[in-house]
Amino acid sequence: MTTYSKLTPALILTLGWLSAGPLPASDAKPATNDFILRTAAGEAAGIAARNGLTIISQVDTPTDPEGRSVYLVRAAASTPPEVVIGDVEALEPTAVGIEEVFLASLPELDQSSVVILDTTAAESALGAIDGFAPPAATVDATWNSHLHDREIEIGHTATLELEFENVADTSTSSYGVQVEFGGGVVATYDPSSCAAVVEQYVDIGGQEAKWYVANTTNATITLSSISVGWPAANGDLIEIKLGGAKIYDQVLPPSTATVDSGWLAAVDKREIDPGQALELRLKWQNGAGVDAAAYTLDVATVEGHSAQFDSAGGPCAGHVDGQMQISGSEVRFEVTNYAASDLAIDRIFFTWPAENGKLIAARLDDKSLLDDAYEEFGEYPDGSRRDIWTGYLNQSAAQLLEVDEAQEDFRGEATVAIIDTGIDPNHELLADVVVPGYDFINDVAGIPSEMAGIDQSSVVILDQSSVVILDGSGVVPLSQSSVVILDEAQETALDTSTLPDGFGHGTMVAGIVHRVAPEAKLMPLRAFDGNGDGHLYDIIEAIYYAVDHGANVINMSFSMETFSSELMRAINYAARNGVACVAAAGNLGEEIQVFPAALGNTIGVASVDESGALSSFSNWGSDLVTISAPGQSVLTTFPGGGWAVASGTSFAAPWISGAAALFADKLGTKHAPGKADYYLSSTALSAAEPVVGSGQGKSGHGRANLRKAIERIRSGKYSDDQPLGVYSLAASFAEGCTANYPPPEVGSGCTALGAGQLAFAGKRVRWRVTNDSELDITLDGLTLTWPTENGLLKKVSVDGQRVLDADLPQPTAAIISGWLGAVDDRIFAPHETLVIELEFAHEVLWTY
Amino acid sequence: MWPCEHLPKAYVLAGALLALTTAAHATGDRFLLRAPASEIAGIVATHGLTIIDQVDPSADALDRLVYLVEAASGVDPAQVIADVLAMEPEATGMELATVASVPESFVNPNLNQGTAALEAAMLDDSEVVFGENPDSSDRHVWNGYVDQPAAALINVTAAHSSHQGDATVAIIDTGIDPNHPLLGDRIVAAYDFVNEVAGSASEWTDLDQSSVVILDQSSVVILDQSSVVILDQSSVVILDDLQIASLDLETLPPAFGHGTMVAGVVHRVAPEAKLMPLKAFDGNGDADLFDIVRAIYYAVDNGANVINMSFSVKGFSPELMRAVNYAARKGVICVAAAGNEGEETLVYPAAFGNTIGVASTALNDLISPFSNYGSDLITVAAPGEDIITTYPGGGWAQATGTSFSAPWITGTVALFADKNGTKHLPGESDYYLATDALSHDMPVHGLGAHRAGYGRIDVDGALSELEKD
Repeated sequence: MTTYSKLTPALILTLGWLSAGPLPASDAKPATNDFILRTAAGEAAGIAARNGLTIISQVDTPTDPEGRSVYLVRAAASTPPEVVIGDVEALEPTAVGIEEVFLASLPELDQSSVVILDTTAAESALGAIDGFAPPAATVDATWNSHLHDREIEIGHTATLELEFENVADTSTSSYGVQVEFGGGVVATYDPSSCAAVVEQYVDIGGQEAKWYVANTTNATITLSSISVGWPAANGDLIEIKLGGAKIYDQVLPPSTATVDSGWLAAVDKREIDPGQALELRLKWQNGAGVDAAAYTLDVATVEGHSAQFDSAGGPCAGHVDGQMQISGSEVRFEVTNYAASDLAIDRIFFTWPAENGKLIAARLDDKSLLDDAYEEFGEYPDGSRRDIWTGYLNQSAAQLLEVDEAQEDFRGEATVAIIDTGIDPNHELLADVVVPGYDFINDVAGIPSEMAGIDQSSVVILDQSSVVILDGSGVVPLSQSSVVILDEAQETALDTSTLPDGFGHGTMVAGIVHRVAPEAKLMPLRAFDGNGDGHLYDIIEAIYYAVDHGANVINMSFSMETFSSELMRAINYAARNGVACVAAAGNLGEEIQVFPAALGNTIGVASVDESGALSSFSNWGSDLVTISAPGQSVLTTFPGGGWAVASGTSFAAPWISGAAALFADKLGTKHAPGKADYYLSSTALSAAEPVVGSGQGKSGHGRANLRKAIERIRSGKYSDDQPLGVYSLAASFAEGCTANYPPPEVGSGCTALGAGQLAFAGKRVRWRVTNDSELDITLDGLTLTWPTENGLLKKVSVDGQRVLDADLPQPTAAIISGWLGAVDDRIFAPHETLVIELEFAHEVLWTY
Repeated sequence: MWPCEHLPKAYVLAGALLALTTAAHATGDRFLLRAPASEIAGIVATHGLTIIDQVDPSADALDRLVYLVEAASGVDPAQVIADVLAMEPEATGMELATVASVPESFVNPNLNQGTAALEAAMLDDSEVVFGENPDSSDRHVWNGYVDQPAAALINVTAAHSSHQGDATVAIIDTGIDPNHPLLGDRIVAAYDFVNEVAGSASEWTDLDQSSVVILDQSSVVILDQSSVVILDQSSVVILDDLQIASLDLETLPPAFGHGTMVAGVVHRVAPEAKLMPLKAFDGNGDADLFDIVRAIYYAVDNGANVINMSFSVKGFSPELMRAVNYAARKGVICVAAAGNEGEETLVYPAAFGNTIGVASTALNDLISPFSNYGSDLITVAAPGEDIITTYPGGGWAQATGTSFSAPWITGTVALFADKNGTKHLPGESDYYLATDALSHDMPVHGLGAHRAGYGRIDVDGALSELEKD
């Protein structure tokens, strides 16, 4: 045999037992001479004895009624595998199959993996801005994708806090703040303006109109005059109160008046304290007209301020308080909504003196305004969870996949089994969703923690009770494909060379599943050790375990190049039980087959970069890849409560596992609710985007778009749910019977029964009608009502044959003629059930 | 010492090579080699290989760049594969070019059938109307074929009240008799991969001319003065006295008629279906895996909705898997026979998760003693004993084996494609729809639950299940 100086990735022979030549790390052999033996029931002991094999373990079969006599057996180290296999197959008729055991690998740890470490994404996630340099900065949707959701409610005051590199200059006049709201309202920090403010919102009822008058200065103000205009129909103005105290009670005839003297009571009743808003209540003889625009109100103060009621808005509808607070390196403003409605923020513009140095943080009511700066904690769009690092939340991968949009209605309440290195069950983000699994390496039930198996000092360094404070954090390379984010103290203390290469892999995978399916239960199944090797037998056990213990999805971020029929059997078992299997495509960058991704009933996932182009390290090819997802610089959870950034197809697959959990959540198959299965998932995922670059046309359906996938499910065949809106249908037959929806039936003579439920798909609604009589009946009339949103009724079909083709306007139609095709198409034979299908102009709305 | 009945199934390392060398060409072993067009010349030159053929020279898709190459005689095939894969990064796959077989071509005492069923059917020589000609004239067909017990058991006729299977069914087999009065005008897009002939895939090419003359007739056999003749352990044929006298049965190749018999079962279920005969098997019942792979791609590219594969290979083949995956993602459903070893084993392509593996049952729904089984292999079961079907020359035969179970299911899937219009829907949901519909089946006896997949097919029930979608 010729030897070669360079061992290029030696792709394993495709016939597994014809093994010869060097194997890649991915299909290395375990240290012991192991085989998987499948026998008829009760035969294993005899076969083992006769062939010099030791039975090590049996695959557990709690629910499979046919029994599963699958064993891990071991031969003497010196016996060549082909001899073991040859003998058993030739001499043991009750041996159903025997195959060599290989090791699967985590693709990123395969010695042939071509993933290249990239710390820049992690660094930029940590500090996309190194602070804004003085003297100005604008915060808009670029810096906070949820800025527009930061509303200030009517009448409320929000605190705007800025933090600078250096101690803040105490000269208040050197700062500028301008908040632009929707609707053209602008609030500007201007101590000289809007000292007194009349709120836009006027409360009119009975004989009274009430305004709030606010004092935005830091000194008391005293009303000196009030000028009012009102509708004549109100009659005389008879009373004025401020803050509940009557300050004027002379009668003033319509329809205008100015009161600047003759005040009742003491002057202090006309005072408004700093920062206070008092109710100014005016009362008329007759009822107060409700049209706010019919009123005018001007107030003036002794101190020389004035304010107007402006039902159209006015310059003080939004106001940055003239009193700002400065403390250390922080500066605080208050922004009040004096408008007639809630105000959504479009932009905030700051200026500050150069001495302050960089603006390094900005917060509104303690929530950060800057997504990617230090200490960024956000929440899920539905607010269900807070204090999540926005780097993880808002990462480009999640945006590319449109994860948030997909989660609008489904949160992935299903169970995802993760066959990997285990998980960190104490990670704050994951702790609530981890459910017990199994450690197949140590053969122990429970939650296999990644922290077991690394030295205690490292555990101490990594382990924290709360999310890592990202101030001063840096990135530390962990392996060729991942970097972990550590703070300075951790960086100094942690010797990453003591961490096994595979450490954290399972937790990193889990974090990505969680990002897509926050409510999914995660079942950690440990079959991979710290070096990233997984014994085929353990993997197979894990698959059976997952199916038998209620998983809806199995994530398999690993691969083997050697085909295993036992692996295929386990996958087939999962598939026929409605469990979706998702697998990484592998990182050799080639158009090759790896398993289990290449199996026809497994979703093989390739990796794309941030722009949706195929990653250079990702395996590809339409025979292998079902769908692609981002697998470069993915931000995810890391053992100890922290975060990491990882690249590889291992981290592309879990985006899709999470998607399968979303699919399983609400819309399982109609026969098995809650099942994600391969076909449901694959069909949903077929609503995808093209992958650009060399992978075009070779990456399955393309690059996933989870919003489109969810929409595809909604409008597809898989819904058991009823279309939304009111439908009423009546089918009449020439022989004198009718079928109705909704029931009950009305009719005589022949009997036609309409189904009590409709079904829908896309733009079509289906109604099953049964001829419950002994004679043929001919459909000759349809009377229909449908929701306006459906638009025109365009087509009617019976049993797939079009019988009517017309644009009938909503919302009712009575069809008695104009039938297409042969009369035969509308004949229902005795006891026949046919589907009457209506097709509308628009997608049918639905409910759940 | 290997017992006789185990010899065919001993597909171990030594066995596979043994089988190959006995069937080997005068030169060396052959392989399926996957490599880019720009690299193949260099690779074969370096490793002493010769290019024999290419899966699809017309395909510009990288998916299809698979070559049939041959090594020099006497070279160790395992070493060739190891060397190529180690040294050539551009070669992304290489496997032995194995041989597939129709399951009935193996000696299997459990397949032995008598003539009773056919003789019983012949007691009734009436004809019935069945399956219109394209020109809408009725056909009159022997009632023994139409009204056979297997068809009645699985409710085929009831299913026809609504649909007749207007779809295209590819049959990868020994070919079909192009002159058969029942099947001839259903044939489309034929291809003979054994003899490299487009437009024709006839079983007659495996027969010597004198036998062709004896068997071939232009009209349906008159059953008077006909008798049943056992051809082999799996097929019994109705021949008239003159044929019996003049035909030397010893000269009939063992697999002659297999494809026509399979096609007749498909036709019984789906009378309107177009039949695409793809001859990859020779008269001995052997086919090069290379030709099977080509046939699958051809079927998908030429409009098949369903592919019937009444054959099996014992060893896993990545190229076979890739071809089946290609069909699946194009919405073409693959149906395969489970094999006749009578074991709970895996054979391909039936074992693939996206292929419908079909076991054989008797008329009392007992699993046939010769049928492979097991829930990892079997999706559904159908009658495979004493099936009455068409035979080359216009006559009739009775056949036994999982090869004849599969086409009941293939025909059913053609009904699905017709009814649900799945031929117009893209993608793998078609397999899902088909298996979902097939789940409405009858229990199979003689085995634990789930060992015969969903159970024994009920065609009408399955069609109704599809309606509910």
